[in-house]
Amino acid sequence: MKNTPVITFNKSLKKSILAAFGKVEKNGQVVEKQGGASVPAKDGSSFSIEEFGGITKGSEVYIKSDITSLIDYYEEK
Amino acid sequence: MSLWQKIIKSLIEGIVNSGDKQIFSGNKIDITHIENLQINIEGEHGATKKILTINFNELNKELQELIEKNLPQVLEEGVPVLEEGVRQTGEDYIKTSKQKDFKESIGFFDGKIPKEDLKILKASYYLKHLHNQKKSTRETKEGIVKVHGEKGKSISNLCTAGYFETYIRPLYEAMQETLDFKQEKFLKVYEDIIKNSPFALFVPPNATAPRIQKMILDKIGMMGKYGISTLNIHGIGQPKVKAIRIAIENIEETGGITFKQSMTLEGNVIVVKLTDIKH
Repeated sequence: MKNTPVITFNKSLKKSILAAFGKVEKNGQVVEKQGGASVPAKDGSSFSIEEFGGITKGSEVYIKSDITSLIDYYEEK
Repeated sequence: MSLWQKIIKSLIEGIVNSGDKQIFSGNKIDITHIENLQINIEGEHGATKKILTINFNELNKELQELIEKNLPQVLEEGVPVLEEGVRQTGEDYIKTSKQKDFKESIGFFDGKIPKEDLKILKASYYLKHLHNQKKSTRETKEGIVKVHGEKGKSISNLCTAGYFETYIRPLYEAMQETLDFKQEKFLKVYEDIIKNSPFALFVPPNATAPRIQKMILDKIGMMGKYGISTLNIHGIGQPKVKAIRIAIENIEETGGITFKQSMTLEGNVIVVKLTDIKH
């Protein structure tokens, strides 16, 4: 695994981080603030703020916080 | 200087200029205020790891907006933005996956079981690692079951109890020795084991003695179909230990089924082995 910089945030800031990328939570799902379209995670599924684990480049790839989603992300790094 | 480095520089200058003595002490950054936003900076060659930790809620509005405004561009530069727990777990998983036993087991099953199952198995070996380290496993297990349902539950139970090494792998190796071996034949048996766990019962949380008794009887009824006469009952927690004992006593008293039993108790993990089960 390459040593690359990473920005990490505390769980309590999830809403602020998503807002910085123009995303909000609506009816338990993360959606685009403009237009309300559902935002897919890396595996194509929708996700809640609770499940939100982070964002990586590509252009914006949303990572869910469950272990198999993390394994997918970290093994591809 | 890359964009993210410029942002960090602006941030530090902004904090210094705001005269916030809580964040800075002399020329050093006071990292005892460790809350909220944490900017984790890795050295280029991994030699030095510096962590700049900032209390986001203590920054003035201007600095907060600086971070929020520039995060998308920082991401474009290839700097991922991850929840801290996610980062810790991910790095811990990578470290664990490089261990000899882990690599060997996953290497064996790679190509032999479905891709989704292999993914669950990797997560399950990590779960087992956490259990062995006496770390909390609840969130990890819940994550596996939430995404992968009953299959996730079954594979993680069988893996953490050692059945992939003690039963499923020897099963594959034995089947492979036969002249008419085909991968599909193994998969049929494998999928049956994952779906029905014919030789193992994992007692769920909060199960009462009557419920456990019924689960044991149902399992014994199913085992006859496979010609298996040994059942391992797994439970965690002192209340479950007691409930399992009561369930087995009730079955013995009711009659109709006989068996030999042995028990291992390690801390609060119980395994009761019922052998020579006869109806």
